[in-house]
Amino acid sequence: MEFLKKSTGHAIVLEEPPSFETSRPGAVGTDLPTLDVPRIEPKSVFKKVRNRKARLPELSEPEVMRHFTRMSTWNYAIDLGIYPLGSCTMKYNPRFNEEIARSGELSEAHPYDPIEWSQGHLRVMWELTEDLKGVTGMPGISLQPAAGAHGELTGLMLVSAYHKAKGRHRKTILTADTAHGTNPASAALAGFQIVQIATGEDGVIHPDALAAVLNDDVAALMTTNPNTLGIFEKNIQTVANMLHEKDALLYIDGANLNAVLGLSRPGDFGADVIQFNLHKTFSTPHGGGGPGSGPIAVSERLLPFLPVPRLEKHGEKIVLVEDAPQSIGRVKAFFGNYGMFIRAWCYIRALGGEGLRAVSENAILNANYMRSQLKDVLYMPINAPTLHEVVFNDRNQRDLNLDTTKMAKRLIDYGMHPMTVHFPLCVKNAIMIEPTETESRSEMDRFVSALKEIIETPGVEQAPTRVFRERVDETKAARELRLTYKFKD
Amino acid sequence: MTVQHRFLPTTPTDRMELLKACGVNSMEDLLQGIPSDVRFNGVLPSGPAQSELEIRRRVRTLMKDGRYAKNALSFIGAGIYDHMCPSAVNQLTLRGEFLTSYTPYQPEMSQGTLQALFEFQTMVAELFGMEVSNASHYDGSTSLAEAALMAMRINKGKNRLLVSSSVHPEYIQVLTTYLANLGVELSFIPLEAGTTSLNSLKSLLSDDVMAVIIQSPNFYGCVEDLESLSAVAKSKNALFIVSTPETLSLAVLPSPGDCGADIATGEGQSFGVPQSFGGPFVGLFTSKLEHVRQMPGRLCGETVDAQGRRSYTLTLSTREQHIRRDKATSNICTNQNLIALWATIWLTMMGKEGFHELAVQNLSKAEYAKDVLVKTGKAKLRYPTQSTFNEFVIELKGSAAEFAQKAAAQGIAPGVALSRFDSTDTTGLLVCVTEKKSRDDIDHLAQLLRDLA
Repeated sequence: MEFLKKSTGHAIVLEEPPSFETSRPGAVGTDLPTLDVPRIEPKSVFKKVRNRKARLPELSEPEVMRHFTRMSTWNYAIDLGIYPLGSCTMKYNPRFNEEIARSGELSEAHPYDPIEWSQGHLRVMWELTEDLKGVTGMPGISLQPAAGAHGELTGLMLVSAYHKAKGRHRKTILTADTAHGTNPASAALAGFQIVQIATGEDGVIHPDALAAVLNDDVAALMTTNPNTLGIFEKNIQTVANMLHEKDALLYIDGANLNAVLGLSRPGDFGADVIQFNLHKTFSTPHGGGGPGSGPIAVSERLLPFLPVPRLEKHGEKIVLVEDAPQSIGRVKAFFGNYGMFIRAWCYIRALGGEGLRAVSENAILNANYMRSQLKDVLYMPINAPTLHEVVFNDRNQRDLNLDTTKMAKRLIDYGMHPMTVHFPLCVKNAIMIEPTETESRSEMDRFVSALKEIIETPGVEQAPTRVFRERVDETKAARELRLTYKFKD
Repeated sequence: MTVQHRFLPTTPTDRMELLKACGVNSMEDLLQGIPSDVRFNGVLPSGPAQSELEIRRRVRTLMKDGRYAKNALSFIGAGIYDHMCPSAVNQLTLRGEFLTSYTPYQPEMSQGTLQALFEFQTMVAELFGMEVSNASHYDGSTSLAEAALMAMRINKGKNRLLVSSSVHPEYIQVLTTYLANLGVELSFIPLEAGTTSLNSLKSLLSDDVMAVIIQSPNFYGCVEDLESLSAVAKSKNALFIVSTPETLSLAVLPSPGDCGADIATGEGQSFGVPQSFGGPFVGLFTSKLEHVRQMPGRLCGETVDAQGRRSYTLTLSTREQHIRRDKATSNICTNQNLIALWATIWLTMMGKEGFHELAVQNLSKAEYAKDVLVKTGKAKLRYPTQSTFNEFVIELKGSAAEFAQKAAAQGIAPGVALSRFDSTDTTGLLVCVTEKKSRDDIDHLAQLLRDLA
């Protein structure tokens, strides 16, 4: 295709060995201030000192700059093009947010600063809390969890505390077969066992399926809404009512919240807890895999158990409250990933209430456009209204010696990141596409034509080849573990 | 009507065409999948859309009483350390290829992130003197909690965990929360003159102890005798876990690995990461190679590509939640990648000599500060017999919190009053002195002590 140069997006891509190989004794990468107090040698203070200096690389500043800049050119990024990873919500990251979060005003503060100095920061946290209450229609927020999975764990600890406070030990968490892997893993870590419910042919949970497994040992049901098929759980109100009749709770995995901002609020159908992924819905950068931020919202039932410290407004002053006897405690040191709160806060301010709804509407429109363009070439196992993402599989390609994995790897040679593959698990060889609202029609058209060209030209076995590294040997990596550089000395 | 916005490329004309391609007439037709009884018809209460200019103005107003606007002087550490950071680190981490890329699940298009992680793992393992490091964790506190969970897996059947009382109080709180539903009995080892009591450890230890957790330098700044503590722990086959919130100290102190640690965790914020009101930071997690399959979190490994060229990929993912689900070693999905990159670039720029020299500067400044603060006659060292790195406790004659409050009114944070963590400790002040404090700054603190305490 015409626009393609190299898959990583750079015309010139240079080799660059690990810094330990280019290191040369005597090279200096930074200046330290002149020591203006008497010099104290470690061995004069400590009984024992480090036996030899840590083997950090020795490079000058320009060498460091080139080292990392060259490495950066081996990466694909949302700044380069579409990243249609279903359920991962790879959208544009506004740079204004980055500038504000990194400014001294925000980045130099310490959480133990005198509270009068911290009012501005606490105010930002308070306002973000109010924004998140608005989005969910739920009365309680904790900003503390460090990432989505951490929010899940925190939410499940609240569920556990809720039942304990009622003097019972419920052991079961129900999950749907559309669930993210973090759901069962978080439940296990919170001390629960998992029972999985199969979704119906229309891709959603059915009251009968729930009734068959719902008993007095069920602590909560965990489900993503819209689910990982991009479908709204249309029976969610009934599901919530059934759970509440048994005094079991409804946990909504908020990973797909990008589809429903201003369109549907979990609190309105009886959700008891939901985690946010600020890096998905509110556009804090993925950073190649973190930092995330995973605040939670809870219903009235779970308010007493929220982590400490909690934000409270006393008159115009915002204070942190540690004293809460029923609280599960603290899930992270300090107050959460504040730097991510700032970025999300800026993002929400930039869009405003109506803009947030426009985000979801455009996300839904784009996913439906992808569906309309691909439904004749890819098989769609579940035909239900699509929200922010659409799931196909490779059934139509099986006779062509082309499968999901091959299609994904070949997309790389077209200079695009593949979609999510082999997830959700309820669809064999799933192909899961989430364009997000920040893709233009022409970007989506490029993706569609690349995928169609791949399908029309099966038999290419070697992809990807137009990349900095071709078909990385993952089996060898696991068999012959090399997790650190082997120094010569 | 869908509003237009600078983040949204779809124009009203595009929208008409896209709707037509979808075979519908209006946006509303695409929302039919949401049942009407759970549709929200109001407007979210986040106010009107604001321009960059308006938001910037608002930020400035909100932050007018903050540390930065005041140009305040601070001696607060207590788990977050104010270290210098070369400008290049910030600039490099702003590159879109690092900032806006996804988790490197497709290694062919993520070699930059992966090689950086490999360098990160190498440096972290080297600093801790351990064989393996993971690709990072949320922060120091959750790293420590996950270390306890890992010890549970390795020492299955043992149900007691001994934790030194000198571990950061917030780390202890997190650990307690994590273990609440898992049937582990936590006991705290008392202190003797500021460090973990060896005799108490001996008497608390039994065959059912899965692990012993020690922090060094500890919360009060004192350096623990890791070697002796480790030897005692091992006498009953308990794992020895070390937590290091101030990781710059690793430049000069014996590494946890050399002192017998089985698992060593820490906080990488010390590697020039902005304090940012408490996060995001980067949790460090290292262990012996024999336990690698019980480790939580992502791991990056070296391998080759189809042409035999050196390459990197995430590996041993069969431990992880997306493969093993409820049988995974942890529920953790992300790492703190961009902050791990920040730490990697910072460590590369400091280099072998600079990193060591920076630690010496911290030690020298803290020793100078101890000297001049004690000479005021208004304070004494609480643990005079202990060695410290860049943080120490002084004992005031009156209330430390009151002194801190008076000092704050003059734009100085003299440290953290320990009453924050223990209301019965009214006189202790935890003071941290990094390379960023000049001799004048330290003298200024001493003068303040003379005037106000």
